[in-house]
Amino acid sequence: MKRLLIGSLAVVVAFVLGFWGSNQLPEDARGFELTRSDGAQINSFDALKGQPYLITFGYTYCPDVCPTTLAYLAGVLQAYQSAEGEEIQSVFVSVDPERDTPDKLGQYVEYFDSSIWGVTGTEAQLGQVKQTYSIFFEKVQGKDPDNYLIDHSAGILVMDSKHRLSGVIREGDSLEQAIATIQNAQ
Amino acid sequence: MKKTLGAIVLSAMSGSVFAELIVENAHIRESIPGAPNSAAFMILKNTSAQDVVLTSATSELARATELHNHINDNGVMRMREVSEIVVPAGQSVQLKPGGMHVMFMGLATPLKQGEQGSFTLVDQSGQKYPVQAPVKKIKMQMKHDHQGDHKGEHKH
Ligand SMILES: [Cu+2]
Repeated sequence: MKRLLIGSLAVVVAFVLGFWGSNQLPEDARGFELTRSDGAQINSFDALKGQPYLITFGYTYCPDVCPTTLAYLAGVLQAYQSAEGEEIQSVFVSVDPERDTPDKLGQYVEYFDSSIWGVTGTEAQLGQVKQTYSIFFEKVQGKDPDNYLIDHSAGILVMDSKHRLSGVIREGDSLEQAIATIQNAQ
Repeated sequence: MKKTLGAIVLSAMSGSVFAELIVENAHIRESIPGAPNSAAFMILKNTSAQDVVLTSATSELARATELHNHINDNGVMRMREVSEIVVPAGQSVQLKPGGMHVMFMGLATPLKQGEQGSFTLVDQSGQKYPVQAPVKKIKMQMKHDHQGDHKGEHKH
């Protein structure tokens, strides 16, 4: 019941605040539990060890926006590392667990940057992610049942060490802007 | 006569030249390992006094080839098949990432940089515009080339 209440609250808040709705959640509801492409079960609180991280959402059947975002993310990661001398963890969440097997997801993120975690989960886990990050995704049926599309939130969320949203990086932001947004998230 | 002209493909550096429609900078995105779909981007220039209304695309590269657009609905990207792409008389339309594209769904084989791919745009009157385009790897927007320079250990 409490879950449900938090859930409905998150939906309402998300409507008003967009991604920022996530900060209204209690701290222990702000993480994720998902399966990484190597098969590891990732609990974000344990795995990220109190470090800020970047998270973005998509699916491998997406030929246009997702590759563009991940290519941009790869650029940001590299620029951040050269500027700061350290890495920041980034996470690509597939919202299409039906088709994105761990193996495919692993190959997909590796193409852009081998440090990116490709993760996905059960429908229930992804439903939780939707609320946690105040994001939107929804399947859209095409003519061909195997080739459905998925509408999804774009942008890269910058999360601080307490899993609070600190900023949003959008493609088109210069690398300098993106680095500044990450630096803000300590 | 129009038909004949329309079918001529001049493989100049600038692209393929037709009676009314010039296709420039056409390229197909290299497919990403694990992903079965890809897309083509280009600039369509209509040099005639009449609108060109593209209504479909065909290709042997994939199981289905469609004309697509993206709608950015308050930060949510919604990709949709469109029934037409209008290139107004004397104007250009750009097919680019995040916007309109020719979508290849269910590639027959993965597409690698350096290869050439062909597809055909079809307009309202049934006129065909064959296009040959190079396959290009997505730009990583790096300061220097990232290939072979991965961070050593694989974390996943
Ligand atoms: Cu598309």
